[in-house]
Amino acid sequence: MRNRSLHVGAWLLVALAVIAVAAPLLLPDPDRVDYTAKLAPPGATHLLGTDRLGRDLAARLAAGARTTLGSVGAVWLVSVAIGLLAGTLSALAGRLAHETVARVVDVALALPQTVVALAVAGAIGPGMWQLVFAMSATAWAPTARLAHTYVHAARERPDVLAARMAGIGTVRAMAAHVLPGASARVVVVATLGVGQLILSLAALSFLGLGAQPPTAEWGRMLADSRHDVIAAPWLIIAPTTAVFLAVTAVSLLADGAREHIDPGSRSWPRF
Amino acid sequence: MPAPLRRLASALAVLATAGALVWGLMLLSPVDPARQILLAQGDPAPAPAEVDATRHELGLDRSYPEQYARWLTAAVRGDFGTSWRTGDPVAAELAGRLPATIRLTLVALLFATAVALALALPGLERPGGPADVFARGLVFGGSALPVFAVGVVLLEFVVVGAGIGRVVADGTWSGALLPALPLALGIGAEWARVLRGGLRDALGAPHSETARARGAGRLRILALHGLPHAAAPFLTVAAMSAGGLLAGAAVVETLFTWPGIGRLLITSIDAGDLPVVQAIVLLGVVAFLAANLLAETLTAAIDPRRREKR
Amino acid sequence: MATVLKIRDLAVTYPDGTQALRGVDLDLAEGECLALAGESGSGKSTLLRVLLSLLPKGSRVTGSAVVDDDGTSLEAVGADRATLRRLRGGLLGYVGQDPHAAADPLWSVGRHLREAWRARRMRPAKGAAEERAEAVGITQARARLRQYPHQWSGGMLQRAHIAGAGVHGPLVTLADEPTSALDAGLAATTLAVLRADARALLLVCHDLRHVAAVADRVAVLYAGRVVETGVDVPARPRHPYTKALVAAAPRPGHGLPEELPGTSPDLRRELTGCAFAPRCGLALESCHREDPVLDDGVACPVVPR
Repeated sequence: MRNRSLHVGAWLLVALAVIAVAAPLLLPDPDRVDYTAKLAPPGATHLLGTDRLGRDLAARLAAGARTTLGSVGAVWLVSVAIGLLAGTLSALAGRLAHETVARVVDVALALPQTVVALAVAGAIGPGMWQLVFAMSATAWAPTARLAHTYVHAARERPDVLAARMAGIGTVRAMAAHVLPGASARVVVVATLGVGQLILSLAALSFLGLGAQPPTAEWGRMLADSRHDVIAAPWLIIAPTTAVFLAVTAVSLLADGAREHIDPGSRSWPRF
Repeated sequence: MPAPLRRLASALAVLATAGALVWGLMLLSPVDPARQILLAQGDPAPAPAEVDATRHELGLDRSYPEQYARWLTAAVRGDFGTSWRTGDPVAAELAGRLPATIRLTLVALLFATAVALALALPGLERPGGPADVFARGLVFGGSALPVFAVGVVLLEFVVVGAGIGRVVADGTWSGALLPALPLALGIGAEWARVLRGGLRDALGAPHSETARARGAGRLRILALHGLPHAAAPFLTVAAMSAGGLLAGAAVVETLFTWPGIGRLLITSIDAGDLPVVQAIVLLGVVAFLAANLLAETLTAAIDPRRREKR
Repeated sequence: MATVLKIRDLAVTYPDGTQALRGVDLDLAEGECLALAGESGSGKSTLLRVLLSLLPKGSRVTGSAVVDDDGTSLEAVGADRATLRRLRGGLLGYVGQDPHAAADPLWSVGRHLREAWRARRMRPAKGAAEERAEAVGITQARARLRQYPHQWSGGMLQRAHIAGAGVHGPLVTLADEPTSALDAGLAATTLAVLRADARALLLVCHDLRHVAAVADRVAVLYAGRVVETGVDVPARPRHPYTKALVAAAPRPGHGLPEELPGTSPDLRRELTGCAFAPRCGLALESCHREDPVLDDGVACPVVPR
């Protein structure tokens, strides 16, 4: 099959999303504590077992998927929307706007995403939305740079020049000939960063800087049950597999999409 | 302006901006620094007059630009103020913790290099062959594995379970071997991916063919044509991974109770000790900028085409 | 004159099943220049790569290609490491297609030239590289060799490659379309330099016009076989394919060149009969069934002898 990674990635991601959304209908309440069933192994009543408070692991994994997909989705949206907007407008605007955006992007690119997240958590305290805010603060920079470069270069492209010479306004020529290509690339680059983003969010949550109890989050789940993993190995296997599958799904999807719009190229930014 | 100087200047400009942002964290914080310091120094209920005096001493009654300038000049000298948690100078706290983190990250980077070479080289002989596919699978899996999960496995199963290594880490070189492992795996996998791509491009290029046709051996071509060409993309990505090192160190140090700045950072965030957070964050940014500057300089030194342009 | 290269029944199948060469016989005499002509995909470059063992892994090679050096015969097909060491860069010199692509951009041209010694674990004598450079017409060699490939013109850089290929006085120089990346004006001089520097020269060239000036003999390849060979091929083509090839070259004042009808055959399939028959205006019914034999320099039963 042509471009297998695109298909496998997309189906994996769809499966994860379906589980995340459908779980509340099928599985117990993820926050329900049941001391009679603490550290229960996987079985009929608890599909993947329970943690030390007797909470259903499968339900908590699905709830964690909602947390992760929601926060990652928010950062992704910001990086696509702001990146495309800032990049495109600065490429078309005058020199001053161009320079300003370029300098801001320079700074945003020079600030490591997780370091910013740690700083924000230090200033205004831990929390998932604080992390989303902090991650978004730099996530738009690579997409903006890409959109900027693409649109700027496209101004001199033969098809665009021809359209402009034919009397179509610059804005319309751009919208018709350049924007679709720029958007596709921005979406792919934003998606290329999502795998790392999932890992970072999980790591920061593991450190207690992300989702706060009782919200279920994969990294947090492992942190809370790390002393039980020898007695109850499913407590490490399940959340780790969840992170692994989510990262794999997104990476496959992004790699496949990159290959789809720009076959054989290795020159794409990866962050 | 010559290129190296220009690169340095732009790095310093970015650093100054980053410094302003780090200083600005103080404005976001709801805590009154003067009161906080008095509390930390053991005064259970500071009188308003005392707080005002400390406020003046700290320069917090001046304008924001003045405050920033004072903070920045002090920071350049290594003075990051007083810890809100212990009442000690931040610089002293950092100095005590930094060597352990440097040891940990150096060992991790060494491991990562070994991992990258071990995963990138075997598949080169026959791209698409079994060795290549196997290595690529490991690279793909390795870069999707969370650092903390690997750390927990090592700690709970290897250290606690099997009794290998020490539970309480002491920050020495030999103690760094185990904690460095989880830190190195993800980075090493990412490096291997780039290294493999760079080497494949270089060894498939016509100039490597010329070398083969002239009778050069495989190792000679790998060392003299392959590695220098793969170095540029590799260095760029290696420098990028310096950005994730602080968070990675925080995870590993917290897990293994490693006496470094990563764990100090998490302790300080939990305690709301902003001056320490500021200092460590700025250190993280400086390390990232320095790594990128170094990578750019090395890349330019390797490639004559970059030496002239720009 | 002694034969220095003797190719017999050489066949190459690539890992994807493409039969790039399907039974080629060729001889190269000492000091001779043999040009290999044909479209891309005809197997010309494959022939050079067999001799240097530069085919992709998993390619199947049968037949023989013997390099004869003063009585010692070296078989290039399936050569072991020791033989390869004597062939590559020693008995066989190699000049590639695109001079800029063939030079490592990170190396100075001088280092690249001196590598011709070092690749064979030798050390160039002081001034030897400069001497070689001047021998192929590179002036002010000392200063110029310190520069990098991107600072050189294609024509001059190709001379540096020619100098590098000739360092160990190879018995046979293999040149793979050495002028295709150069401006038309430079092609003729570069070929002349190559011809003057090489002893025996096996020259792959898709442009028959350039060939005429330097080649003693021309062999035309089609679909992995020699269809015609002779001294006067570019001026007096005999095989229908060669005629079409000559006619397809633009000649100012002679109107539009005639395009060759049809497409090259799919070499992954087993071919029966003459590979050119489907595109040939003169093809007989038997041409589709019987393999033509190279007779009097032409592999075509239709051509009058």
